[in-house]
Amino acid sequence: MPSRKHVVILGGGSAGWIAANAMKAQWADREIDITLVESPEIGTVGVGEGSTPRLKVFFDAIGVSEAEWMPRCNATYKNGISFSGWSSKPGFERYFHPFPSQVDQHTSTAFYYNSFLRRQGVDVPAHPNQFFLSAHLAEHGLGPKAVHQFPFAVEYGYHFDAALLGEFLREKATALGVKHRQTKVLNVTQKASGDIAGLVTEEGDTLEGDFFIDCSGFAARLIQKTLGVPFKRYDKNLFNDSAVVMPTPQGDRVGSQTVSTALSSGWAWEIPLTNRVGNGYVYSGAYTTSDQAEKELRAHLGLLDSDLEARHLKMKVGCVERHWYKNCLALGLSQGFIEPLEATALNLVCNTIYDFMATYERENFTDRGQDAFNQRVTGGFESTRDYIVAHYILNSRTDTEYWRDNGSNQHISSDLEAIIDCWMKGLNLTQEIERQKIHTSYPALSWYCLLGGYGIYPNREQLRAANKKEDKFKLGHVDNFISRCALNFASHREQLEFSATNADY
Amino acid sequence: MNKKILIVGGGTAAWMAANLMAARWAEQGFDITLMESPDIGIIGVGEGSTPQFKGFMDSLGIEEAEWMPRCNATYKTGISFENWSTKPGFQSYFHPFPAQPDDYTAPAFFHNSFIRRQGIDVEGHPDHFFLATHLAKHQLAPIAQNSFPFEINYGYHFDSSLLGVFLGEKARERGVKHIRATVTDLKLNESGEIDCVLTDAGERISADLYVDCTGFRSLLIQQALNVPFQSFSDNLFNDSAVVMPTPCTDTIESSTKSTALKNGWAWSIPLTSRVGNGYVYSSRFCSAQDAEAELREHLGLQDSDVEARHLKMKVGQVRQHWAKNCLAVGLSQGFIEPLEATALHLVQETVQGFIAAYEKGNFGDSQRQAFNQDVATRFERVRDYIVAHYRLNSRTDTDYWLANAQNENLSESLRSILQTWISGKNLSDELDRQDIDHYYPSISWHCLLAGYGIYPTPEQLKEGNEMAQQHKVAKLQEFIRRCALNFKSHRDQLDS
Repeated sequence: MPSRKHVVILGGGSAGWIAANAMKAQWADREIDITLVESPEIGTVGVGEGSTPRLKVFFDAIGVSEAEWMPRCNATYKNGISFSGWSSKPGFERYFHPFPSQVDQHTSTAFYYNSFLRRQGVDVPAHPNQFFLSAHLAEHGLGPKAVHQFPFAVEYGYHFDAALLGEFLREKATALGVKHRQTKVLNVTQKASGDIAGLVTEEGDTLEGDFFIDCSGFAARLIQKTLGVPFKRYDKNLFNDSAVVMPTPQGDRVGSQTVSTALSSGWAWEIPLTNRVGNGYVYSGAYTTSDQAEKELRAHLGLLDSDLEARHLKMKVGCVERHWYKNCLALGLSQGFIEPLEATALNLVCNTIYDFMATYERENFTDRGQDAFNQRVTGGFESTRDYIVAHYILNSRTDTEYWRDNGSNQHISSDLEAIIDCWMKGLNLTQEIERQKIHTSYPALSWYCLLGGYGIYPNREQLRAANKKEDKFKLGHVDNFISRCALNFASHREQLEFSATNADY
Repeated sequence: MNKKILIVGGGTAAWMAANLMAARWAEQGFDITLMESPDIGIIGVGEGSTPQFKGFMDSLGIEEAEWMPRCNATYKTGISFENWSTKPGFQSYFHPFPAQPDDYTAPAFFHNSFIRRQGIDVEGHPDHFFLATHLAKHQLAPIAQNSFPFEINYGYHFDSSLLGVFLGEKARERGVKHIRATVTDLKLNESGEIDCVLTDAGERISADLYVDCTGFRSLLIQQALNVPFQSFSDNLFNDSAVVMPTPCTDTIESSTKSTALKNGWAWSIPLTSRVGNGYVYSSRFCSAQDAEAELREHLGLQDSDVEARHLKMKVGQVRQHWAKNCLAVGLSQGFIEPLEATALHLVQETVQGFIAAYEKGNFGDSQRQAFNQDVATRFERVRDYIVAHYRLNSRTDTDYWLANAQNENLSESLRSILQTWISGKNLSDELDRQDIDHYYPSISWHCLLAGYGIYPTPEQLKEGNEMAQQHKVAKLQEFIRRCALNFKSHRDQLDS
C-alpha cells in the first residue's frame, strides 16, 4: 500500500458498524485509519432483525463469541423460515426453508429423488419438511447447536434487536480504534476527478478521506446524491414498498424459526427475540392503505383492541447500478434493498464489504478490480431477488388481486424463467443451478424446498401410484434418522441460557 | 415342487447351508437332511467374520442377544496388520469395516493418498481417517447409542464349534433332519450324477441335490465327481497352521490382530472365554516344530504346557462349485487363507447365490454355468486382495518374505491395480473399470496400499501447497473422537 489511508464511513446503522469492524479486524496491521460519522438526528431504520448463517461467519471473523454479543442484542437462534399460507395447494399450505446441515446428505437424496419422481406424476411424498433436520428442530422448538458427541455442522442464523446490534458493534469498533464522530454532514466536497474529497460537518471542519463508505441508508447521500449513480428499481418484480411494525411480548417457549405468513396484500413476519416477538407486515401500497395494513396486522396478531403503537416504514426495492464508484462504496440500504422475506439484508452487507476488502487488497488499494466487483455484487442482488420473486410468482392464492397479480406477473428474469421451466419440465434442477452459477446465493437445496414446498407438482388427480422401485425411500426410515439425530439438541431456551454463559459454546 | 436335499458334513458350512436353505425352502415342503459323521471332527478355526455375517443372522431372524453369548462371540471393527511393512511410520495399519460417518473423512484420505503418490508430503496413513480404527484402538464396541443413527458395519469373533452347535439347533427347529452316520460309499448313475450315498449304518440315501460340506476331504465333489482342483499355491505360499489359545484379558480388543512372523503371520482373536491364536505359515519355509516354537515365543508361552494343534490347509478352489447334482460349500469347495476372515463369507455367498440360481433356473441346472463363474470370480478376487498383502510386504529378514515380495504369479486384475496405484492414477476409477469394488471396496484397497506405505520414499517428498494440504488431520481426528463418544467399551457392551 502506497501510504497511510483514511477511510470515512458515513452512517451509523448496522451496515456502517459492520463495515467498521470488518475493516478494522482485517486490516489491523495496515496503516489505515477509519472514522465513522453519524448524525445524532437521523435515526436508523433497523428492521433487519433476522439473519442468514452469514452473520455467524462475520462474528467469527471479528472474533466475537455468541456469549458476548447474543445476550446484549436479545438474540435467538434461527433454524430457518417457515412460509405459511403462501400456497393454497392441499398439503402444501406451509413449508420450511431450512438452513443446511451436514447430515442432510443422508436425507436430501431421498427428497431430490422423490421430488423428481413427483414431477413425473408419481405419487411419492415430496414435501420438503419431512426430509430435513432443521425443519424438525424448528418444529420442536429446539436450538441448532448439537451436543459435543454429535460433531456434525448445522448451519443457523440469528434473530436480534437491530438497534442493540448497532450499539454493540459501535462499542466493539470504537474499542478497536475506529474514530466515531457524531455530527451532521452539511455538504460533500469533490475533487476535480469527481472523487469525494471530504464531508463538511456542521461544526465547520471538513473530514477528508481517501475512501468513503456510504452507509447513509435509503438517503444514499454519497453514491446517489453526490456521485449520481443511478438506481435500478425492482418494483416491477417485487410489489412491496411499505411495512408496518409492532412488537408483542415473548412467551415461555422461544421459537427457533422465523414465520412468514401471507396476508391479503403481502406477508407478516414473526421474529422471536428473548424479550419480545418482532412482528411486521410488508405490503404493497398499491393494493392496500397503511391504515388497512395496520388493521390487518392487528387482526393477525389478535391486537385489534390493543393500544400498542405501530410504526410505519417505506422501502425502496432495487439497487444502484454501481456499488463501488470513484472512491466510494455503497453499503446497506444506500446500495439497495430487496425485501426482508429471506432476511438477506445483512447477508448482502457482509458479502459486499468482504468482497470489497479482498478486491481492494488484491489490487493494491487501487480501483482496478472495480468493474468485476460491481458485476459480482449486482449478480448477488439479482439472484437473491430472483429467489424472492419466485415466492411471489409461485404463490397459489386467489383471494386478492395482489396475489393474483403476483402469480401472473410477467416481469421475471430469464434466469428465473429458466429455473421454473426446468422444474416444470421435470428436468434436473441441480444442473440448471450449476449452469447459472448462482448456488452461492441459494443452493439447489433451497430451490428444491421452495418449489417442492409450494407444491409445484402435477395435481393429485394426475398422480399415479408408485411402484416398488420408485417407492424406495421410506419416510419412516427418514423420520427415524432425523428424530434420532434431534436427540442431540436441547430446547432453544436451554441453549440460549447456556450460550449466554459459555464463551466456547 | 418338492425337492430332497442331502447335506453331507457337520461343520459351520454345513449348518449355515442347512439354515439358509431351510429358511428359504422348508415351507415349500423341501426335505432337507444333514448327515454328520460322529467319527470325523470338524476343523473349526474360522473364528472371525466380515460384516456380511450380520446379514446372515438377520436373514434368519436371529438376534445378537441370542447367539453371541452362546458362541462366546465378540464384536470386530476390523483387522490390524502388524509388522508386514518395514517402512518408517507404516509398521502397522488397520483395515476398518466401513461406517457411515466415514463419508465425512474418507474424501480426505482419498485426496491425501492420491497427492502423496504424486510426491507431496501429506498425511497418507489410513489409521488417521476412520471411525472403526479409532473404536479398535480404544477397545470400543461398534454399537452406537440411539442418538447416533449412523450405520456402522462390523463383524464378529466367535467359537466356531459352538456356532456349529447353535446353528444345528436352529436348523433342526426349521425342520432340517439330522442324521449321525458316516458315508462309506457313493453311487453314481449312468449320467454321472450322484445316485445315492451309502452309510456305515447300512442305509442308502438318495436326494435330488447333494451338498458337499465334507471339508478338505471333498468327498463328493472332488472324490466322487472328480471335479479338478485349481491350486492357489503359486500365489499364496501358506499351507499350514499351528493353533493355541490363551486366557482372555480384562479389556477385550474389538479387532483381530494379524502379526507378521518369520514365515507367515499370527492371528489374535479375542473371544469372551479366551483369545484364539494361530500361526499360519508355509511348510516350504518352516517346519511344524519351528513354527510352534515361534508362536510360543510370540505369545510368551515358551515354558507353558498349553497344547498346540497343528493343521494343514489346501489353498485353491474346485473348478466347478456346482457340478452335476452336487454343490460344494466350505472347505470342500476351496479355501483361500484366513488373513481376511473370508471363509464364512464365501460360504454365505455361495449358498445364497446358489439358492437364487436354483430358483431362477426353476430347480434345474440352467443357471449353473453363470453361478460357477460368479463363485470362481469371487474366490479369485478375494484371493487377489490377500495376495496383495504378501506382494506388498517390505520385510527382508527371511527368504519367505523375500519370495513373497518377488512373486510374479499375479492375476491380470491385481497387476493392473498395483500398476494404477504406483503410477499415481485414480484407483477408484480402475476398480470401477474392472467392476470389482463389490468384492473389496475402494477404501479397502486404498487402506492396504497406503497402509503398507506404498508411496514415494520420504526423501522424494516435497512440501505441498495450501490446496494439497486442504484436509487438516487434527480436525478429522477431533471429529472422529467426538463420534466415538457415542460408543461403549467393548467389555461393557458385551456385558449389557
